[in-house]
Amino acid sequence: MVSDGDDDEANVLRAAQRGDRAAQSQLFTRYRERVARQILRMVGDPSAVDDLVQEVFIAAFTALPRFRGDAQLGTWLYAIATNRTRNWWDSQRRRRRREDVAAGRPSEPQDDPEADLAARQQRDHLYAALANLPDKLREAFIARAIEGMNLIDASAALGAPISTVSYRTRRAEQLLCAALGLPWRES
Amino acid sequence: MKPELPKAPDEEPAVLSPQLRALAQLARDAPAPPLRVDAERVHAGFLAARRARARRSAIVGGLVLAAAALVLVVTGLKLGLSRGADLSGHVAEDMSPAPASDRAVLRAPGGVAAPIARDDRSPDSSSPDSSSPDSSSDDPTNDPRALVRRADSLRAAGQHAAAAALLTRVVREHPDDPLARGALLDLAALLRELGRSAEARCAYRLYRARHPGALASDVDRALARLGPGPACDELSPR
Repeated sequence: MVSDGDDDEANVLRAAQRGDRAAQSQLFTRYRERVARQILRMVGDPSAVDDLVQEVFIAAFTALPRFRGDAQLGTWLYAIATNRTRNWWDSQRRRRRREDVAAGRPSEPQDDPEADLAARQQRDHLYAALANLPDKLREAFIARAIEGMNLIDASAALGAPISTVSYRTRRAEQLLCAALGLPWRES
Repeated sequence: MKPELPKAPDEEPAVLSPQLRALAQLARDAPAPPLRVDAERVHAGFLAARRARARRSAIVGGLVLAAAALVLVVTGLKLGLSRGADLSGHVAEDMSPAPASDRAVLRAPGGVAAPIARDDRSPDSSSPDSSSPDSSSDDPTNDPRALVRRADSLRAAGQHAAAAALLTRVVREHPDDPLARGALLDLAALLRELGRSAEARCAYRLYRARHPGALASDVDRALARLGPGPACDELSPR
């Protein structure tokens, strides 16, 4: 059974696909927090989130006429955000090489309301290690371990078979433990 | 009073290391930053991107038209020269095969070339059915990781039957490997895509038997979509 909420979402989506500005604004308002949170979990750098959110929605509105509804809109946006953050990681790597920064530490947030400095430092260590992982391993780890997706959702979001997501997550864990000096055993 | 049964885990843990799990939890709990971007800014960016795309399309379209015009001019010049040669009494004896190649090229007067196969096969004849499971028989290893990765490549190449054969090996030969769980779900989905519904049903049932609490609702939905079918002996329908 289709609920009123589903109907409403479908109507807004169709209008946005036709280029209706108000409908696009509605979609942006509905999904921006979720996308922002996802991006923060993917890059670990609050100062990068604004620009990436904008990039994701520009890309999404550009591609929206081709969206056929095979996946849920949230899953589709997740895939776009994953691609955009992949570019961000690439540019970060290039920047670090240029600046010859040894550890690959994410840039300091300009305005971080979080009081817990220790937690932030630990997160920074994690993201510095994540920066050195191959894209696909990093994305699998983030989807499963940080986003908390189950295997089926992560498989849909990343467009990879379940067994591959499972393998990549495990491999990422192994490499992260080695980089962070944590003990690791497979089972 | 009956003892309370331990709740089945939802699925395999994403992270095995407790320390790394704690770090991942910290990352998950990071407070969302205040967003400065708004719908207006996104819309302005969207319009700018659209204008840039239109400019690029116009440039590319112009280049394509210019290239097409150049080809037409060159072809026209060649035709003109060739006709001129015919008119002057020369007979075109230019039907020579191309050297050292699988295909010969017959060049007709006027410069039109047609490829033909040396052994009379049609030029369009393709290789044997690449979806045959035999195409993976050169897989030298029985390591489940290698099998899963190879299955992924085959699947990406559209060789679903071969991918299913490898995943079947993971499920049958490495049932205790952590990868066997995901492989079983992938196998079930692949079999369903291949139209092998009875086998797909068996794969889902086997998953449910091996991992009763994990992703149960998704597996039950998949089974309901497949409908009723014969009993199974592990992965094989009876």
